[in-house]
Amino acid sequence: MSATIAEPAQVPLHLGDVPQAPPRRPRVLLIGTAFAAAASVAVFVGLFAVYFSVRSQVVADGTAWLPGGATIPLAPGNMTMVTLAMSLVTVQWAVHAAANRDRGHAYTALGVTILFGLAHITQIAFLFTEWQLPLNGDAVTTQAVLLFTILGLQIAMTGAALIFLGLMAVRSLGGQFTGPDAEGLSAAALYWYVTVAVYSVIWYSILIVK
Amino acid sequence: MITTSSKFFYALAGLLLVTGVVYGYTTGGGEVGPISLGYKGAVGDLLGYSILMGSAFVSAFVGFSTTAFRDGDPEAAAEILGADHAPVPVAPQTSYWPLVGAFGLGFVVVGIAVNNVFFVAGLIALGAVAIEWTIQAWSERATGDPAVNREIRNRLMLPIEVPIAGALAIAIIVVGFSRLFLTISKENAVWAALVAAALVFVVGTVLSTRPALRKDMVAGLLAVGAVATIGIGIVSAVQGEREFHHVGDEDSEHSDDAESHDDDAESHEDGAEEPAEEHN
Repeated sequence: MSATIAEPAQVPLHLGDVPQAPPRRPRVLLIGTAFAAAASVAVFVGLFAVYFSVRSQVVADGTAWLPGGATIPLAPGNMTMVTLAMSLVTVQWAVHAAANRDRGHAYTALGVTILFGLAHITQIAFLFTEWQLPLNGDAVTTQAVLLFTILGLQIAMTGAALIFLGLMAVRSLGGQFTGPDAEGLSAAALYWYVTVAVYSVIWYSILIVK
Repeated sequence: MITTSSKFFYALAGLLLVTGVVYGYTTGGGEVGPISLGYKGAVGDLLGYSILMGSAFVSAFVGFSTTAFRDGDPEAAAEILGADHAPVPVAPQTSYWPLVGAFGLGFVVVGIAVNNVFFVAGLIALGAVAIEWTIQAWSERATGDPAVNREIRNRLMLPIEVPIAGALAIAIIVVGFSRLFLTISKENAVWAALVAAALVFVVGTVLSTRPALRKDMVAGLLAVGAVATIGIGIVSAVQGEREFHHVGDEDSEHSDDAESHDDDAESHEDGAEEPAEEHN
């Protein structure tokens, strides 16, 4: 008895024989990044609203906002603000260099931007050790929870922006996103701008005004 | 020119801005506080005012972005692509991964409050969604032929998906039914196992006799079975295991557990010396 087994339908993968994908709608990544950045800002809007509301109630009761013994030193916040301000220049430098197919400068600018971002995280971590706000045990306060939440989330946002920038740097190493196709790098830069903008609000309204 | 897509966000921003100002004045705002963002005068209720004004800012940002990037402008799209006209939009294929992602996010949130197991399961689901959705989006645009795109996607992902799905199915069945067997009585566990095995056999036989059955229907049946198994496992786990007694445990003869009484009664009737049941 001879049994024949039907061969499954084979799809040829000679990619030269199949039609190319139709051109995609341009700037989808940029628009998507704008929406993602807006969503990130919306989260911070909610947190700021709670922070300002709680703070105004405490101050209206005639008590100091920061609990006894706690202090927010100005130096780390100011230094990291300056660091992030410099990173705005370097990230735009990276976009400009990539758009002009200047790979050497693009890599340098991306590297310096990522370095600035890591320095920002380090300085905020240093601030956490300086402001004497315990986050566990019986001494935990509402102020500590709010401050750690807002600044911790900003560090998380910075981390996400750094991953985005790092991914674009790796892709540009592979030859993509140079010249007119620098959309990915522009999108990463857009998210970086928003990250710095969020920190600037934190810097003034929380670390300076206290 | 203001692009079509940005008009909605500008309108939303304006509406939120006006609402925020009105809200500020009606909740105790004074002088020009609600108009000047609190620069001169009170803004009223800070929580609501901040959320409304912040939302207005976010909407305006999205509106500016869509205008600046000329989103949805066919002339700009054609110019960027160097073509005579904008590309015809191609709708993406149906994807269930956003649904799985929503469940994963829900598991993460519930897990933070309730149990680490849910949290880890949610993270795993979100990781799987990130990979699968990315690969699907990429493969749909690999070539202009949908059949070739599916083949490319399957060649890349099936060697990973099949072993993981198999291991996951085994884990779901083992964990789900083991919770059930440990919850119900020993006799009922035997019957439950028999019914489950018979059900699998009958359904498998029926499916094998109908090769023309749609894949979607088979996948739906399997999904229902998986959900039922997980549900049975969760309900059983919440109920807790029945009481077990070690062989020779003196307390077993005075157990309150009905099953133990039954077993003991049988043991006495048969004159057997082993009380209750063995510990699993």
